[in-house]
Amino acid sequence: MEAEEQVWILKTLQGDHEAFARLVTRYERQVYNLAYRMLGNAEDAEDAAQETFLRAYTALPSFQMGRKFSSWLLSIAANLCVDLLRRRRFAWLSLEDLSFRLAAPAEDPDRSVLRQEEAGRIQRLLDRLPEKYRLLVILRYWYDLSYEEIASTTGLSLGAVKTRLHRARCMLARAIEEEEVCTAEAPVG
Amino acid sequence: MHCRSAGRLMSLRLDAALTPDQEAQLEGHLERCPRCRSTWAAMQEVESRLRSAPWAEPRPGLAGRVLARLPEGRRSVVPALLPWPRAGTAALVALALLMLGLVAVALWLGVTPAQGGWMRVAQEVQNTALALWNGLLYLLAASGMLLRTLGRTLAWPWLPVLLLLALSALLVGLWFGRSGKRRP
Repeated sequence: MEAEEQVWILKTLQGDHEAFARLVTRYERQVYNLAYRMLGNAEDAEDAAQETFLRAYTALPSFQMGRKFSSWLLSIAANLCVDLLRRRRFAWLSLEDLSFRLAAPAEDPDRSVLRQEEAGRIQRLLDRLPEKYRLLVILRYWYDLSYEEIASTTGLSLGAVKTRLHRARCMLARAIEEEEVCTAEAPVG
Repeated sequence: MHCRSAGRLMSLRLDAALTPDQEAQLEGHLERCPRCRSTWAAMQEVESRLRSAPWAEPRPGLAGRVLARLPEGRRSVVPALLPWPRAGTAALVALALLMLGLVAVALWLGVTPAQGGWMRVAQEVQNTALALWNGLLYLLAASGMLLRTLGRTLAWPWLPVLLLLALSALLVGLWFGRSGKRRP
């Protein structure tokens, strides 16, 4: 860990909010991107990013200085996003929501913009993955983490990381194959 | 090689984690199996799309929005006591001055413990406080030894009680101690 970062952590532990602001500024992009890729929209990602930093602030006394701060922070964000997705999935099962969705599937404004872009296509692919696979794909491709680093961040074994990454890639490959078949079958004009 | 095993090797190949033997096995299988060739092409497409995926950027000012939600103060924790928070340092200096002042006044007045009656109760309290006080002072090493000696030589019954109260105030101050810096 950088000495500068260590100083910020120590100062934050003494109640120095400015030092914590520096930590937030350094890692806001990483945390926000993880939240966005996991949750799929800007509003939820903003809430999750804020909540991640608040949890980190509260849990900072338990942070071990020998550990990589970014891994620790990303693990907080990852756990939070997985929890949010589980809650969201549960919420979707409520009858009210179900009838609403069947009647008129609402389109998130952020999503509708994204769908016009390549980023939207990638996000759609990610959204098809179960959260436990999605997280690993994000950590692998956006953060370029090794198997060992992913295992450390997620608390999974190395074998589980390899297996889940493999399954995720198979699912994504199938999705792309289907996409290509659908594109080929689409009527011209 | 089965297609399932080939699939696992494809994933490892994308991470450049194949041994030369595995590489040769996979290549041989791909030459023979059109379905796996198709899967491999799709996996490469996945790889390409994900590698070129952009980062999502937060709205400017996320740090400010986080700070606005932080609790007002942080409880100090043991590792955070070094260096001491400003409030803790101030409380420590105040305690030291208070102790010196009390010692000086007691020595100057030459007070002696009262005998009999309700003062016995006070004497017991004093003894208990002295015992506790001594225990704490041992933790303060050399400076603690000096104060302990002073405490024993002084005869004013309420002095140790006052010192205990002052120490408690110090600990509370440190527990809730905050840095002087505040977000504007």
